[in-house]
Amino acid sequence: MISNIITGLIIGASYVLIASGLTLIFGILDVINLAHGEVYMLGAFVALLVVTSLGINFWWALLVSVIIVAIFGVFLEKIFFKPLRNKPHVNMLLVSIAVGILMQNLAMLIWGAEPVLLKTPYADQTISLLGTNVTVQRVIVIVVGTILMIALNQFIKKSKMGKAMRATAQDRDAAALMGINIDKVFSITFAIGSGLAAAAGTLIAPIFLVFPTMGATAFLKAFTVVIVGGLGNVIGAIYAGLLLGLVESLGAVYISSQYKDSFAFIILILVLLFKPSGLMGKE
Amino acid sequence: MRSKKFWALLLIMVFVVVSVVGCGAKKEEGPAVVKLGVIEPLTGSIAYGGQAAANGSILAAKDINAKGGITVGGKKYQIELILEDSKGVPKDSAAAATKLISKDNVPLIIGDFTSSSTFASAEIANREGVPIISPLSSAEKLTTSGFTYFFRGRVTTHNNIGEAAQFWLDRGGYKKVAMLAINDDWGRGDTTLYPPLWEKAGAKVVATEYFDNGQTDFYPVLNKILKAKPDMLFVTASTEPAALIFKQMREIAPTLPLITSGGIDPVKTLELAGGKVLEGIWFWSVDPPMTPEIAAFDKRYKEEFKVDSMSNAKSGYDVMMLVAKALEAAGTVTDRKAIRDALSKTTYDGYQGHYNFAASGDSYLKMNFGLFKDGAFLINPKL
Repeated sequence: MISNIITGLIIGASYVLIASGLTLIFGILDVINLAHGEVYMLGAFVALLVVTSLGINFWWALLVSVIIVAIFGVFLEKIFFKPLRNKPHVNMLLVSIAVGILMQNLAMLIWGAEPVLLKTPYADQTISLLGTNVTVQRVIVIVVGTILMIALNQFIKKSKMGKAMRATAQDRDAAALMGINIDKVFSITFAIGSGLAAAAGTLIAPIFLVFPTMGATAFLKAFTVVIVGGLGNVIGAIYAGLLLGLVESLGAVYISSQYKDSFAFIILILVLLFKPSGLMGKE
Repeated sequence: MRSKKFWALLLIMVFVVVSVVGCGAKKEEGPAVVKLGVIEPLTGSIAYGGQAAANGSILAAKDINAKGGITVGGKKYQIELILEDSKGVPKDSAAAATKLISKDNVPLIIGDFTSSSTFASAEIANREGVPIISPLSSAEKLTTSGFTYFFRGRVTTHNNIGEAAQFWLDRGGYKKVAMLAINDDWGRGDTTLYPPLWEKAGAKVVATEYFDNGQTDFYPVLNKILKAKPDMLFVTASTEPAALIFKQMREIAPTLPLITSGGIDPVKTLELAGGKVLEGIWFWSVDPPMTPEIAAFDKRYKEEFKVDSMSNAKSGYDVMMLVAKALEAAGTVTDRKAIRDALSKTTYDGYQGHYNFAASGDSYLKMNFGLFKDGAFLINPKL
């Protein structure tokens, strides 16, 4: 039982990391960025690249991957989403699908379809946690995930930029009239959202494998978490992510492992039926 | 207006002239060519193994052509392979077979990889009367479904399972076996074939679980398996999922004995999971023990394709060579019925063992046992 809860929390933490960036971007863009899963994939590949070519350790790789992908996120916004800011939402949705397909196929072209492993010393060390064996790498996912979530929360609540982001999410035009630099808010939001996805990709890479289509399933789970938690709600995403991880892990053991992936969608349907604004969403 | 018409006419004439000249030129130059179809998953999650098989066949065709090609009915033919990507999806495999048969008019098809895909393309090839030989598929139903045009160039579970089932149990006197298999024809084949044999030998299957193609998170299903308290876990999976299953299982249950059915490439598995995780794991090996000839093949393969060789590459090579031998024996490159009859009588000694076919098209290749030890692996080690 305890081992199942730990397993659930760990996988839940990874869902939270991907979903928080996605929900953040939704907050200001008002559109789900369907290329977010591919940004997560890119983060894993960048980390893999710097570890294998530069031989630096895992923590530096994590930092480099987050920075590079954050910059990439800013370019993504400037090139693909900025020109469409005042166009109907469906345009942006379609462009994000196109960007996702483009990135996935480019990755396949550059790195090949074959899964590869990101090697770290932490993936081989195990520690005992409440009588359950866990690799250090999986503990790192939870610890780093928690630190990032606390930092993100503080940033949004306390910092000036965080306030500007919230203001822009509420009413873009009013925020602009109050002298907020909207372009800067968009860039920063995309940088943070993409950086979080890169962090998730890098942290997960040593546990699962790195391959061009890894973003597809991860995105589906993250999307569910975003909706269950309430669109644009970071705190909601945290609770929903952990909930989903736990339900999957416990459901697989006590109900049926073959329905593991359907639990996410059962929760999604229930939430949409009974509380469409999400668990933490406002009416 | 007139000038437009003039240019249009000129363009048409140029096309006609070029195509006629092109045809004429093609007919005169070089020796005759026989086109054969190859269907493998060249992209997607199992592309690694599919590309290896295709590359093996390409290398064999190159070797044959370098020696002047095959001699059929006193005439020399060069072999040209038409590659089709099935992506590991049955409907794409079926579409590829239809295209090869109706558009390219091939006399024979080599392929596919996964048993489910092969079944789809074999059904079409059989209906159209085109011989098809798979270098990789091992599901029993391929040769029990009445496909008279289907041949298997791969070691099978069902022809070796009696020996294998006992061998696995004997590795630790196991009494309570758990099974984790991929949710397809191959995986479900293992979960129906092994349990009766094990029960006869006095062991019980305490848990049977499945996973889907592309799954990476196995912790929940492994936790469920551990709840049944098995004394051995038997895994039916190809290289990538098997590596992840071993890694994740070693993390939550460091000592549970693990054994895997014949789907992994030991070299790639070592690369993905590491020697520490794999230490002591037994696996079903398609490859016979290493010989100087096999080492030479592996070296040449690496030089040619810049990736490591694996058993699939040797299967692809062997099957291409076998097909060339059958075409020569048939004395025709167009009569599909005659080619089928010749193929059924062909025998060949390749890298993977001795090839000969049962009346059903089934193969009698022998399996080998492998063991991961000290960051490497042994084939048929002394017990």
